[in-house]
Amino acid sequence: MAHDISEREWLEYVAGAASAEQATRIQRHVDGCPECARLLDDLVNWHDLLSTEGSRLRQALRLPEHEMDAFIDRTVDRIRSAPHPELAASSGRSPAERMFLLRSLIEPIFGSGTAGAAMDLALRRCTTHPEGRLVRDDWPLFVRNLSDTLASICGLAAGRLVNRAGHSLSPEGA
Amino acid sequence: MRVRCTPAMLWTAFGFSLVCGAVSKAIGFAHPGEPVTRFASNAYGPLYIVANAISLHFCRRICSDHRDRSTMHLAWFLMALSCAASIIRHAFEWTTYLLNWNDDPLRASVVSLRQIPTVLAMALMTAGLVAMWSSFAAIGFGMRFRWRDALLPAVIVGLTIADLSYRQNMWDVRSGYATMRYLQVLSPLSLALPALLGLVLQRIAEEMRGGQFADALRYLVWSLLLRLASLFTTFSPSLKGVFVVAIVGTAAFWATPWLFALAVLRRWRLTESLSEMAKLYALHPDEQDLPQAPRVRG
Amino acid sequence: MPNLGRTGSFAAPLTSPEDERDVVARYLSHPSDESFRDVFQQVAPRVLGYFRARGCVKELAEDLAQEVMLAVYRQARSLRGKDLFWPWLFRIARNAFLRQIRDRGRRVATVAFDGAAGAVREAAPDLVLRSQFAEWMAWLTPEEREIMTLRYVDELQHHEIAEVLDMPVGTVQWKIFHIKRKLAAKFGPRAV
Repeated sequence: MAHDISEREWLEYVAGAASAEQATRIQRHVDGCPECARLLDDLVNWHDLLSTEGSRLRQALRLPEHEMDAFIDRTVDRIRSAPHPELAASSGRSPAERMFLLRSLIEPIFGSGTAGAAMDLALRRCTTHPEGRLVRDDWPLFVRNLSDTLASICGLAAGRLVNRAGHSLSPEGA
Repeated sequence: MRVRCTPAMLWTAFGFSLVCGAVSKAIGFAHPGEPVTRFASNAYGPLYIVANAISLHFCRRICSDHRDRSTMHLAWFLMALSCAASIIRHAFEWTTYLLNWNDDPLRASVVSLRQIPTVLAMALMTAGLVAMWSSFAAIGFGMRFRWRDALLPAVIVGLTIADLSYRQNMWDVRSGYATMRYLQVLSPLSLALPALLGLVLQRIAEEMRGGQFADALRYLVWSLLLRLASLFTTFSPSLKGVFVVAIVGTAAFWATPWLFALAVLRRWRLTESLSEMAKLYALHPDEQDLPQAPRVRG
Repeated sequence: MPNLGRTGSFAAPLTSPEDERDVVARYLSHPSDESFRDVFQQVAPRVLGYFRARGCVKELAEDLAQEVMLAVYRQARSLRGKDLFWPWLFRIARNAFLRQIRDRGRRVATVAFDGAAGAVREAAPDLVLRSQFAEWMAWLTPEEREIMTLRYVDELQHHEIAEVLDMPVGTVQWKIFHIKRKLAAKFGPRAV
């Protein structure tokens, strides 16, 4: 901040977004301060120059109408052929695949031993399957147990990461 | 202006301390008993203060990343207190050196009061390491040992017994305060315990089988072991007279607090990386090919 | 499957920011194929322009823009608040741009995003390189260049730029202020 006018106030004044009181204060100061008058001149000129050239570049980069139409057609085709999100989720990853993905995230950070031990512990505490396998409905509880375990030894940031990564992999989506 | 502490800075400080430690011992050999030697042998104090201040800062930050009243929170809190006690100890030592109290027979006993923060620092470190071990034990780490794991503890016990036998060479063994003499005599034990617990952490790091977290633990282990080994060379009459051993031992003694600071910084930077990654997942939950946590360099 | 057939040729997008906001708000509150088409018409040219302004050749820009539009189609409904739409959109675009640099392992006809300031590593589309805007931007650091491009080419407001780049809005304002001073010092007050 120089001469009691912040950078934000300068920018708002140049863009015409300053309040009446602010604008009056700045104008009064500029009238009496050659240095700030030069600064204002620079800011105004460069705001105009950049706006003009930015607009020119933007217009120059715009696709012609027929090319834009073709682009939209191609994009629509791609969206049509992409798997429907709900379908993708339900026919998506199995719990084992999700565990594998989660493990591939935490192993480089905490080590394969820690990842294995923590996941085993989390699995033991949540699964109701007679063979100890994780089923779809157990996933949120598994993720919570795993994040709690890692948080207890590696910190809350570790727990948050595992929690969020686990939920991003959940069958219900993010 | 905020300066971000990086591993490169700490490695530079580590290297600088190594060199200064070696030079100070070389000066001691070249000019025994002279004032320059006295200065050189005491000059590690400010370096220890700075290193411990950095460690204290990051221990507190790591502590805040754990749930209140959790065992790991307690572990890092105790380590932070240990760093604070070390700062007090070295500040007191440096002050008494500057005031020339070491050579004043009337004040030498007052100087020996440094044993209080010294032993306190080691006790707090030991307690912190025990708490850390207990936390890892919850997922079954640090509970299984192999026969070959007994080798290093045996070496440490041997060094400790040897250190105890050299107690006449210790600085405050002639203090006027009986408590300070006892604390001084027991100081090898107060060093050995953290070193032994360091070996447990080494075992835990092995059980982790890789990962950046284990790397941070290994730095911690090495700082504890190096400190014990370097002090042994200082006290042992047969070793402290051998030029190369004395140089290496003193250099290591000067540099060990930076190794501990590196361990703590690496651990903290891991938390920072994890926080960043968690934020990315919050903003872009569908982007599962997010980059891995940036490897902590250094 | 979504019915996204076009109705007639693509019309020039509405230029009023209020119209843009209304179209986005309508889609977010009542997502349908028709409201998505309207959003598409507003969004697609800006997204394409984002990639092209950063030096991507046409084909790559279209490819990346399609990825972004797919993300909009899939995820926009979970967005809370229309005011978050544009920063969210440009953030997806930015991540897509960075990801393609990382994944394809080559600087594909782009102005260096994180390389040496002012250096274009490979051939860039002439439109970008030959523009006066690019000549000015070449004197800035990559971060400064990105801020100014978002502001003056992509027409984002300061708080939107702050969201996209994950920095405080005060920092964005401060940087824009000083960048303009830097340009004025280099090129003079009127770029003569």
